[in-house]
Amino acid sequence: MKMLVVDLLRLGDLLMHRPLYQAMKREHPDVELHILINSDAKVAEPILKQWFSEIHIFDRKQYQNACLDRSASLLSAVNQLSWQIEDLNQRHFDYVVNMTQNKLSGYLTDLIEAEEVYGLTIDNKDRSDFFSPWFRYLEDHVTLGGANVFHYNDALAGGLGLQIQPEDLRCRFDEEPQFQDEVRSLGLKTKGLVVQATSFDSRKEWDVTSLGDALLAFQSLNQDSSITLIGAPFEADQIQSLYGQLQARGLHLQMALLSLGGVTALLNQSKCLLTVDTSIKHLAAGTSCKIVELALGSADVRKTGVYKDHSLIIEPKIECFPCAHRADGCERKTFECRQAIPGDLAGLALSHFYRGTLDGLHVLAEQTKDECAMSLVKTTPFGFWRKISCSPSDWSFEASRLLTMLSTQRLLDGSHKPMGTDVALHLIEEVYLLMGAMDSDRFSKWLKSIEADSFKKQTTIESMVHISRTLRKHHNPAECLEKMHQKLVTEIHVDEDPNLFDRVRRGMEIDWSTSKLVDNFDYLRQLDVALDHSFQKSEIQHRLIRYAKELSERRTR
Amino acid sequence: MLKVEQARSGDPILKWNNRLLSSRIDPRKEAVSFVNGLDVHPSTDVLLFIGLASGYQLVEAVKRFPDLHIIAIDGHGPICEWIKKTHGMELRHAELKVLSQEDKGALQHLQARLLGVNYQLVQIPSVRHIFPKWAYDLQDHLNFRSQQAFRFLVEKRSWSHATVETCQLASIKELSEAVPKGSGLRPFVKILRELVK
Repeated sequence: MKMLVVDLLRLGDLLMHRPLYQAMKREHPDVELHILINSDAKVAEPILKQWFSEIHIFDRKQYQNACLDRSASLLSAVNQLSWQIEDLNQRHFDYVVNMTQNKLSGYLTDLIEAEEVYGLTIDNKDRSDFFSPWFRYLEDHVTLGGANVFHYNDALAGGLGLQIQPEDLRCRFDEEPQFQDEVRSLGLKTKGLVVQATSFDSRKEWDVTSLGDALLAFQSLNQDSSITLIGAPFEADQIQSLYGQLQARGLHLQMALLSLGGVTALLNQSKCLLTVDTSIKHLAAGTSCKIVELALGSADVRKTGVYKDHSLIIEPKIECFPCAHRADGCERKTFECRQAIPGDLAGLALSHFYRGTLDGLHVLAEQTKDECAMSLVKTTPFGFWRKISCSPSDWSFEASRLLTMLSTQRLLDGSHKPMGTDVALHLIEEVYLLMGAMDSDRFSKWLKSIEADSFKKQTTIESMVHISRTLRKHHNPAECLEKMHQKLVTEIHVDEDPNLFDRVRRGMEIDWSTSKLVDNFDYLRQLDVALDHSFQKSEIQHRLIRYAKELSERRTR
Repeated sequence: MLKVEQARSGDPILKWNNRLLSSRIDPRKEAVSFVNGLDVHPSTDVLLFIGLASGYQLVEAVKRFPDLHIIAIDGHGPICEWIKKTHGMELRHAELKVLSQEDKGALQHLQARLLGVNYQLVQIPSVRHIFPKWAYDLQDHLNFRSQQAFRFLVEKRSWSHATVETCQLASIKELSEAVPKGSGLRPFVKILRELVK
């Protein structure tokens, strides 16, 4: 059996998908795995070799040049692409998995002949197929944003029917002796803090002053710990300049330019990594090193945050964060997100996290909650990634968020019938943990309030379904949609159901005075699906609450 | 119209309508520098010279790329004849052809030969300056960026539904607009279009 994984993303995303590759290999040991990657991500080949028997390169630049350069042949681009697809088809794959989820990969996956396909495909008539509600969810919800979206890894694992196990997270890449030698040859002092300050996207980088402030605060509180500034060999000039500027501030630093293998070896010998959103963050998730992620610019931690339990994430609390992935530069010109995280406070948080004094971290998070958000990552016991605010006053909100995510997960898995006691029990335990103490009164109160909210939401969705049914008979569809929109904005938060908000808004953009209902059949169908999903989700949520309530009452008795 | 002169280095060079096709100082040195500047992709099988100038660039390319098949075309028979006579032995591994813009049959024959071959076009600057229309039209044609070439391409590949009435095919965007839904070419063009977005 052969499987082709189409993963045409950047290096960081490829490294983020590591646990998925590991889970694939573990769950399908007899399948020969192949992968198609972008030429830009070729540097990951030594890492990918542990899972994939063959690595196929999609030479993006060569195709782009042939299309854009007038002096190059248009035919050569068409020819080379068709040869590459022919070459792949000659391998006779049994399965093909599209982990890229964009138009390009959709067209490409459709051209690969295989018995079974997972993920987005777009056929010659522009019809798309997702093959799993999870891949559909990636398209409908994750791209729209919202606070409660699943991490990309979890959505992909859901779509592929994989369960990421804790052992899947470990990176076995650095065990080769040359990487250990690479670190040893630099004569570095290890077991301290490693700093990855540069990123491919400069919007994700912190300013030197704030970074200096943070490291000075850290150094004054942890004088015995080493600080190592790392970078790739091609970043030598940038790292050297940063090193000089930080040294001028009185910091005692080391500098190391390392290969991916070398970095992994160094991280396994270090206590903690302070990093911006970059491939090193995802690589570190497979090592024993603790991670502090500083999310700036377009770094969207909800989708691509560090996938490792107990990691700390620091994000700015400003309206425009995270900015669009494709936007160039900062739309506000001043990189407000960099200023929103005060360097000394981040240094203090880093120090608390480094020493494991989480109480201190909680106090600090509470004090600074208006400026920035500090959260800890948790992937157990529900098997999906969550970031939980370090600020205790947010914990009731976190519990509600967990409930929303649980109901979505069960809806997408199709596993809500019959309801398992394990989920409800985990939920109770988790909420107790979030509440800080086994206070049954407080828990009951929370359950009651959440039940009332859920009931209200269910009623709203029911009435929207009713409006939607009359929409077809109604003489004025615009008025119907306006009513639905009113109900949504007053009774449901946009993060609860971004897809439904989006569908209704799209309907309001249609000029109903000139177009007929029948012309917009596809839109109406999508609106119905969105409403149906919201209704089912609210039902699952309701049932989950009832179950948790019963169990909690039985426990109290 | 065509005259032969002598460069300072002693090498004979061509003059077309009082414009020199090669360096009046040292055409061989000029050719070495031109070939040094060529960025030949490793997958290239054929180098296709559009225009010959006085032939020195071609001689240098034959020397430098012994493993590549080299085809050289020029729009003027007398230039081709003179080059064959002057550099005969040095160009024994190259294929020299006269191809005027009007000779559509010969052009299509060449295109048919190039289908499925990795070829790279080479244009000598003096040719581009002295015969711009011939050089650019031929380049567009050989790069399948002209309507006529596209029509030929569609025919050869049996993409029977493709139509080309309005497109000039300067870009992949235009190619994409020219290919209707359902055509076998469409998925490839769509992928390429996504790539250049």
